[in-house]
Amino acid sequence: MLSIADLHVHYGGIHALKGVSLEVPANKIITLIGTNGAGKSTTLRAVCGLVRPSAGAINFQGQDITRASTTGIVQMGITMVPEGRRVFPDLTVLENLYMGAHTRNDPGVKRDMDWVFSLFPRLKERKAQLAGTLSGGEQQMLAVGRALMANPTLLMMDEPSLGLAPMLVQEIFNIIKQIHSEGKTVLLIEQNARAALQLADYGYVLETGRIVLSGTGKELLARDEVRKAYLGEE
Amino acid sequence: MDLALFFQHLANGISLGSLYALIAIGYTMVYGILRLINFAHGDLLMMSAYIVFYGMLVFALPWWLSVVLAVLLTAALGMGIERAAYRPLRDSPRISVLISAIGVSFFLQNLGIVVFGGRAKAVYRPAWLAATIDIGGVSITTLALLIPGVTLILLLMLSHLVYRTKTGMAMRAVSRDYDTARLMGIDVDRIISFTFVTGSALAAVGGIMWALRYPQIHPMIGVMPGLKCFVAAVFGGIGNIPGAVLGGFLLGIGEIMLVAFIPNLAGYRDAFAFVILILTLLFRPTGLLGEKMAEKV
Ligand SMILES: Nc1ncnc2c1ncn2[C@@H]1O[C@H](COP(=O)(O)OP(=O)(O)O)[C@@H](O)[C@H]1O
Ligand SMILES: [Mg+2]
Repeated sequence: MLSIADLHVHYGGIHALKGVSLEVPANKIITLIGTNGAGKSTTLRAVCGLVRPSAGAINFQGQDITRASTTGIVQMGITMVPEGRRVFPDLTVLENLYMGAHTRNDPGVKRDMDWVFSLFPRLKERKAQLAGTLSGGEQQMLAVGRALMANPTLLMMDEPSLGLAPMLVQEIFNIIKQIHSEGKTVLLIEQNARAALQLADYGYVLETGRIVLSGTGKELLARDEVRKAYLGEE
Repeated sequence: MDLALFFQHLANGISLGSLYALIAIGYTMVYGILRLINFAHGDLLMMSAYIVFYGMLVFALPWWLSVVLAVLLTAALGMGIERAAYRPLRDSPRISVLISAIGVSFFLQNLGIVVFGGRAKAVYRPAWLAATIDIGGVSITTLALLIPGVTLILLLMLSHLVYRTKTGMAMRAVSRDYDTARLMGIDVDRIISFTFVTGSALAAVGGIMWALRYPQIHPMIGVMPGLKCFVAAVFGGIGNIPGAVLGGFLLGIGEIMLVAFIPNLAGYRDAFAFVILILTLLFRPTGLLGEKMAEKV
């Protein structure tokens, strides 16, 4: 469904991605793990058209989207839950959700709103509240709900569990499972490598701009390199 | 000082204040979305006043058509300025954009001198606007009633646009965070253009009413109101629309009251705004309604 081939991204003089290739097949959960600064966020930002690759190609459902506008990419069915939530603090919860559906004008908006509220009943209770007044966990849920309002086929999430209490982390992973079971394809970035690999069908390990390992979640969990570097085992 | 006289001055202050408010909104909207003080904003009201003047006197168009044309052309000019002078500098240091804005302002003033001539022109003011109405011992000109009336209608329309429409929601999102707004599928450039169109159209109406209130136009008439409305926007909390309205009204009323009650200071009338600016920057840099300076991410 999504296919990234030999992607390079530069930030001025910094060569952040040095030939990343990866595949996200339809209806799978794919995870991308790696230490801070490895280039995980940059990969997702390139897919969304927020940064321009200096070389390489990104294909989505058979179409080249390497140079497409972010608006076009969103309309084609890719959305992202950005790192650090980035909800609009002075918009209400409801307005944030409608922002997610900005490009849409179909009767499905109402249905998706109901679905988001059933996934996150807390958001329904707080729909008239300004998003800036929500707790960190609630803001993360809002960021996920907002992305779902675009009715994406591919949902990309950039460290959704970052900074959340362990109980909420578990809840977020359950939600990802639910979203996936509703037919969405998921590309997940996680610091929490163990949980991500347990959940994912397939995983990639990114180190300083390069994919150094890949395999099914099970395979990667069994690899010594992964256990040492990402699972904190000796 | 009797009460009737006080209300007389108050009415006058409200009328001036509504002009300040209309013009201050443009500063605050552009600042909200680009973090730029658009120094060319004041000159838009000069352009608008001239368009009406030429429309009526040279092309003999009916007044309403001249007004419509002035609003449309000024809005287009505001949008064009953003395209030509600000957008290419979007990723440059903010000071470059600011200098570009000052450049555009000088350009418009000098263009005005070349095209319209430097000498002041008298504005034709229909007699009914100068007619006075007596309300409980307070006599008010039709114009002094018309200005706040028009302002009120425009403010209601603006508030509907910003707080009740999809485009308004997108404007608020873009003013917070470009990248996340893009992730929603918002065309950020289009929203920025639209913000300039809105602010410029309000300035155009403000310029026309300004020319009716002070019926003489010359290429520099935008300068002082421009600066004062910038102060009004900072005073109210730059980036905050209700703040700009509040700042505009308080500045207008304050200025009129100062002149009325301390006639000795009448000569310092224009300085009043700048004293307010300095006091604001010293004691409440975020302005009356401004939140703590939101970090632009
Ligand atoms: N806006 C930016 N400007 C310059 N360098 C950046 C920018 N964003 C990221 N980088 C650099 O690119 C590299 C990859 O960053 P990022 O994709 O955010 O990593 P990750 O998400 O894996 O932590 C890092 O070295 C980071 O410092
Ligand atoms: Mg990151």
